[in-house]
Amino acid sequence: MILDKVLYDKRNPLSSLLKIIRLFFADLLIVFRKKKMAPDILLASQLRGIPVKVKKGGCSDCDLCIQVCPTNALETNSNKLLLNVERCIYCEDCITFCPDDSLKSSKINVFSSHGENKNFLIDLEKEGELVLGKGQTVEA
Amino acid sequence: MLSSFENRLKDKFQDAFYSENGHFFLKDMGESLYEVINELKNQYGFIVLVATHELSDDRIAIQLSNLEFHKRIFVLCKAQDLLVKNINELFPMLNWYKNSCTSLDFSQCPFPRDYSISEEEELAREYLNLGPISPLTLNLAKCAVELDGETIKRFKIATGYHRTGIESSLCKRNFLQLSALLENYYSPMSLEMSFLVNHTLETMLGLNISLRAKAIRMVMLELSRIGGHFANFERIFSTLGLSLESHFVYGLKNSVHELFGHYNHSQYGEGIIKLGGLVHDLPVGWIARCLNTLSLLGQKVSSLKNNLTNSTFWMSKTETYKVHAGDALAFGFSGPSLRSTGVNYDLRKADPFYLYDEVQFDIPLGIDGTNYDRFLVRLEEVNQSIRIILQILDNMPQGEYLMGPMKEWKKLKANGQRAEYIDAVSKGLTFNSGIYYSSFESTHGELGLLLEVKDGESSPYSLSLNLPGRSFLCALEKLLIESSYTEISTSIASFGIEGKEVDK
Repeated sequence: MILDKVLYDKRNPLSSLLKIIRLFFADLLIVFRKKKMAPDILLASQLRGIPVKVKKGGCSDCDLCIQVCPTNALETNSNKLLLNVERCIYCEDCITFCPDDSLKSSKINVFSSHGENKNFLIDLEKEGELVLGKGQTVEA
Repeated sequence: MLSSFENRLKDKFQDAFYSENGHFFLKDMGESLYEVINELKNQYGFIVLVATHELSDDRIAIQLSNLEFHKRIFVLCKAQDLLVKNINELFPMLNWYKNSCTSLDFSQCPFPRDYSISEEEELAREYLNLGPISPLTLNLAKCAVELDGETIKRFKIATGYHRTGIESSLCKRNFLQLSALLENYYSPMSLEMSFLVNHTLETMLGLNISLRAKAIRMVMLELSRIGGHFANFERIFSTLGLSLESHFVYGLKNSVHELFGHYNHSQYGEGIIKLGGLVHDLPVGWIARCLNTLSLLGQKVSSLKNNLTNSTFWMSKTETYKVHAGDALAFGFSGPSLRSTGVNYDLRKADPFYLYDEVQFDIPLGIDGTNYDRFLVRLEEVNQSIRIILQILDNMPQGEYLMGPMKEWKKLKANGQRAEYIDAVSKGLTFNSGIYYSSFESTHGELGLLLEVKDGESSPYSLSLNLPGRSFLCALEKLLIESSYTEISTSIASFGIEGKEVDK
């Protein structure tokens, strides 16, 4: 489909003047109609965030989430599952591959460890309690 | 006809020639590289240089394409052969490989003395060093410009400022991790990247996904194309200082990306496409929302077209240098930039995958290859994409959304076979050794992935991406000569070149 030759013709001055007048009144109408002028903005709170742990304990033997994570963001330390928030890219692979379904996606995508430590490491079990409310995490 | 073409090549090159995974290969072309490429170009019709891939062990794969049979040939050689031989006479882009590994020395003037003009004339000329962080080059690369008044007389580009070594670092990851990393790195085109990786892995596995997954993937790809074109318009408008228009298309782009957000809470559609299908089926009410957005987009696009086409101001800003179709092919153009020069080549028509041979759509073709042509082609492509999506949504097939290894693993998990499941996932995917390449038509041009795989390994031995921006930037060095220096930024924006595409 070759594009129309008409698209390449320049407007004559009269028609462009008419166009300007039409556009001016169209813009005025928008003001009176109170139409939405601001563009749609994607809200970060609606986008996906870090994984959180919804099952207590029992997370030591498989290490599948650590193997699967593309950015090496997850690690275990004395039966705790820790996440480096600086590295997490919210791909949710750890959630899909977890054999016990003990991880859940959250909408938290802030870039900080809440002062827990200086290495941007957070405990996912604590985060789960924050998301679900205290005492809501299920026993494994 | 194709087999006779293959036999002709086989007779000519004998042992060096072999066919693997649907592509032709010529191995160990060391000393006779110039003659071989010359012969392939002039006698066998491989007139397009698609890309130069850097493989393992200092090897290079030069990928040439035959538009008549839609066949690709990979000429394998050593890296130093390419540096010594003067083969950039055949394809102007071949010497770009040198540019990617050596940078220009900007401590001295990068241009040698021009003896064709008088000394007075040369003294009147001015040198400008632009970038790497400059609004004129869109923070893309460092440029050296020789100006006579406002017209560019000589132009050189030094890349390498966005180099991250992503290709070599991806070789340390397994096949399941490639998609997540690439889609996050090439962020606005995440959906296209995840499609590319998963489509390549599926062709390597010989996996035929379900009809429903194919249809939904096509809808997502076309939506991503629409979003990409709007992002491109936004960039052009903002370089020309048209802030109101750029604000307008920014909203349109976001309304497309909102649909991805409603699918799986992602910004640019990352994570929708998984190996063997999709992450989950279409959410309830998604189709109605999509139809609403598309009807709104149709109106907005027509108003954009009414206001901008034929406009004297817009045409004076965008009617620039003309690109000849032959030059475009030699530079290795693809996508809307190639079609704006009048070459009717679209991978969706030439090598249709999924349901592209069943849906009806036209390929808009430009005339001169100016920035204005590119704008018109992109605008019409948005309309054609809407047409494709509407056809698919009208006839959405039923079926499963996931097949292949991911589904088997899900079954193991559901059946409670925990140990087997962990074993299977940690083993990952393995393939037979060989070189695999697959490509498709993305927003700005052909997007390809080359994987070199060794037997029984769960990560690629070497990996190379074919991104469209590379060939466009190479061409700009020659195209921008004798045009105004303000056209640098608009050209970069209208081609859709991004820093991440140029350096890998």
